[in-house]
Amino acid sequence: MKSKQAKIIVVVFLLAIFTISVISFVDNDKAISEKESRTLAQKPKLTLKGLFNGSFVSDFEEYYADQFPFRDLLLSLNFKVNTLLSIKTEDDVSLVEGGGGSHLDDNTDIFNPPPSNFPITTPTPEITPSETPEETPYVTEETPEGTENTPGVTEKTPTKAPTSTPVPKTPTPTPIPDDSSYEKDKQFLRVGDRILEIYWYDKKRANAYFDVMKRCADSLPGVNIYSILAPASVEYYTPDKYKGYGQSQKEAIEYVYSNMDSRIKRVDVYNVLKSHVNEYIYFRTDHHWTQRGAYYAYTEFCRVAGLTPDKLSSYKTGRINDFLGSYFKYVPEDRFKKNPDYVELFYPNANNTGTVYYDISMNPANSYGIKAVRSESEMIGQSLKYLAFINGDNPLSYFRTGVNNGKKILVFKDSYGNSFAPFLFSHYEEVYVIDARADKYLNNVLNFIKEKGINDVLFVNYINCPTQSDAFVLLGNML
Amino acid sequence: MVFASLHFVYLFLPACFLLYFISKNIKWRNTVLLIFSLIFYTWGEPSLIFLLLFTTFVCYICGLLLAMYEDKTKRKLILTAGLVVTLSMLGFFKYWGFLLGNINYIFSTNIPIAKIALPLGISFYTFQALSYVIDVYRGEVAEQRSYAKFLLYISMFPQLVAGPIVRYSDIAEQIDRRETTFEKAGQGIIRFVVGLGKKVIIANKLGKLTSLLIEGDKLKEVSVIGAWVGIFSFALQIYFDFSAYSDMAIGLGKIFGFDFLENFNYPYISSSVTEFWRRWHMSLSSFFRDYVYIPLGGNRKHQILNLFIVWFLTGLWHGASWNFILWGLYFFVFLVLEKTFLLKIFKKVKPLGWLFTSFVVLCSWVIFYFTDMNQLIYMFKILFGMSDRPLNDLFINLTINEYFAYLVIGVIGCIPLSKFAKKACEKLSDRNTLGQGSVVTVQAMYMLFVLLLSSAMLVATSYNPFLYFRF
Repeated sequence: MKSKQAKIIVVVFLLAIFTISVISFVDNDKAISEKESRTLAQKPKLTLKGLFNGSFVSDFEEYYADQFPFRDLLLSLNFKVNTLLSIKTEDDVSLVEGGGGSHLDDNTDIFNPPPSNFPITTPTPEITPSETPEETPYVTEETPEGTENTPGVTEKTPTKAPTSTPVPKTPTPTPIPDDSSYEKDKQFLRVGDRILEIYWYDKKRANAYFDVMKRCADSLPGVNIYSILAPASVEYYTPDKYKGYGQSQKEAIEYVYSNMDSRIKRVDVYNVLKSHVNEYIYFRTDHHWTQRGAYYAYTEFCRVAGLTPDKLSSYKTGRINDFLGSYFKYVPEDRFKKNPDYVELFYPNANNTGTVYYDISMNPANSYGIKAVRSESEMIGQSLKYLAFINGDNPLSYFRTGVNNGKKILVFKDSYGNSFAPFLFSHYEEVYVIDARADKYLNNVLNFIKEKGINDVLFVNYINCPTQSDAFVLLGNML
Repeated sequence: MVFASLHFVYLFLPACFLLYFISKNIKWRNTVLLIFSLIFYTWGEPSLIFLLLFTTFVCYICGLLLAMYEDKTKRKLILTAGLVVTLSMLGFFKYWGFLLGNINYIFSTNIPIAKIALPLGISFYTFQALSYVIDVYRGEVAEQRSYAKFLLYISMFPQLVAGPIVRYSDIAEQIDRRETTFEKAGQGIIRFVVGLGKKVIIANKLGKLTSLLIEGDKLKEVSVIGAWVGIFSFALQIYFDFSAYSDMAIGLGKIFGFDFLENFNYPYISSSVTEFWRRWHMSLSSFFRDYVYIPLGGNRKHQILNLFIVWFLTGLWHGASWNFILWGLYFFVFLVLEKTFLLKIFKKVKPLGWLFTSFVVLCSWVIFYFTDMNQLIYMFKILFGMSDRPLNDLFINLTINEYFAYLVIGVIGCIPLSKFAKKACEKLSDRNTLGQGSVVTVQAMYMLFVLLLSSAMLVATSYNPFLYFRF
């Protein structure tokens, strides 16, 4: 290399790294990543203890990466290159690994925070973040097992430690278990402009669901208890060629229904959804059904409950455009930006207002008002458009519908219930909605149901919830 | 700390360069380098530096003592003491669990095995320190009177963590007298950036593919084709990963004025296993040659036994587990076969030699990858059609689409094209200024492109979407 050439290389390189270095010092730290729906790591405190046990350093590394200059641009570049270098199949299908996927860290409360004067007296449950693969030097000198020091062995993703989560027989609050006992990482099948989450399940997980059902049936003899278990989009939209990969949600639903307490009234929505599969009943970039899909499930609920469903045309409608949902984060390809989802809105044929409470006594000091269905203008600035439905997941939401028939219903749900709930307003004077994971805030819910004189209890979930997660362990804690 | 990280490239390096080049004084520069190396080492694992300091101190004292005494027995004693203490440190921190595990197995005891943290770079710096003591003992190099300088030699951050194993005699002079020039810096920068790209763009990506196909429980589901792709991917991954570290080490060394010896020389073009080990991890094989094989008698006395010992140790060095020893002995077998008659055949039919070597090496990576014997055996069964796994399945058919391009780039990267590229660049540069200009433009753009893409991919490793999802 000639001297002049070398000088240019040196100058260009130094300019590059010094410029970025200076920018990384000078620019402001961002608080959240919209793309990832999480808070970005902030500057860690420098303590002697932290320095010696290595925690400061690892926090700092995380902070530096999270706040790296042009982070979003670089992420886009990374995904674009991946897409560019991927071989396209004739049927436009690709398999995308989700890796460890979601991880709850100590800072993340999935619920909106309660009003600031609310003291949380229940201890914050231990949430163990799932391990993320680390970039380590070629020689893995630091493996804690102490046996594997091999140059040339790139640190493998640590196999998650198997934990056994006991299903509590007595309602003692258990800490939120990490999902590591559910071994499979998320995988997605992209079929054209639609993303499907490949379904695997663990029969043992459903035991918590059975337990909850039995306890409800035992404690609430005069109450009608209904169970909706909805499939996700993968069940209906996987091309035949790929059906062999993953497990059948239809089978999973049948398994749960055949082993569930016989007093529970099954609302099997599988067929009614299937018959409307060519309509927009599931989002393409999100794991939820659309409100239209929820409507068809509602019609099946009415059939079982002996109610007459309102006609779809009877509702006031709305629309929120440009929705890129949860699946998009795993498959962040440009094609979805060009062809995003939209959210069809069906306003309830009743009052659209309600209240969120953070404790079972419904203390108004710890509450705030919400809408059952929010409009597009009300959702500006919020990219998680699905939150338009009952303000997202909240511990206890309460709706006085204005329908004076004295009937009351309580819905236990995961977020599939959010878009479902407004349809119930025409049939009940009071609608209570409780999120399955609210055991941090609520307890003695069975008593609550008896005291309030609730007539019907409805569980609205998608099949993934009881068969892949420990949500029903948490629900069990609340009862 | 690791090279392939954002904070290393954009925080550590700029700071180090700034302070290093601010003065031409060699003492200043050595001090800066030493301080940054110690920061690099203690980053995240401060407690284990004491072992590094202790080991280097022991060897440093040995060097001084060896210089003091002429008496043969005394010198032998000093050497032995130094070797014993140093190797015991390595033995304890790296192999204690392995030793206890074997004792428990043989004697059916149940001695609890305490988890001992493995100090960063211990295999590398131990060997470097040993090479110093032995070379001083042999009179091949003068002792280093300054502990700081000796520590600098051992702990220099370019080569401490993942080699190359730099012999003291190779760089002794460079500690006190080395030149930093634009030419060296320019070459070093390109070498470093290319290494970074090899690691981040290729090795890490193929690492994902390998792990998707054959890691842990995945082995229970993989198809036959998936298993072959998996081990092939690993073969590329390990080469790119390891050689990238050497590239980055050599590149950084050059920037600071040091000339390290090459560690990899396109090993996958080898047409014999013998040749492979002259191209793969050269600093290790030459270490064992000079400090174990030749002292044992080399090819003069009981050659086969010597080879056996060397390859047993080579395997053991790579990891405290039986599969690594097996891996070393696996090569021992083929090396002996070659020495006896195969080499003559390969000389006549080189392509045959290349095919044979590639297949042998590919299979060797299976032994290297699986520390669990059951998985190891199971993997071989799958590969050779002796299991119930299907030949082909949806998973490999779909997964390969995302990674195929990287496999191709990886294969191309195994071919020694850089010689031609270098020659072409030189020719073009020699012609005229336009030639010079175009060459440097291409080089600069290539370097920036690799840097940019590597940075993007490094950022992506922190991509961690919170999925408001599970319920």
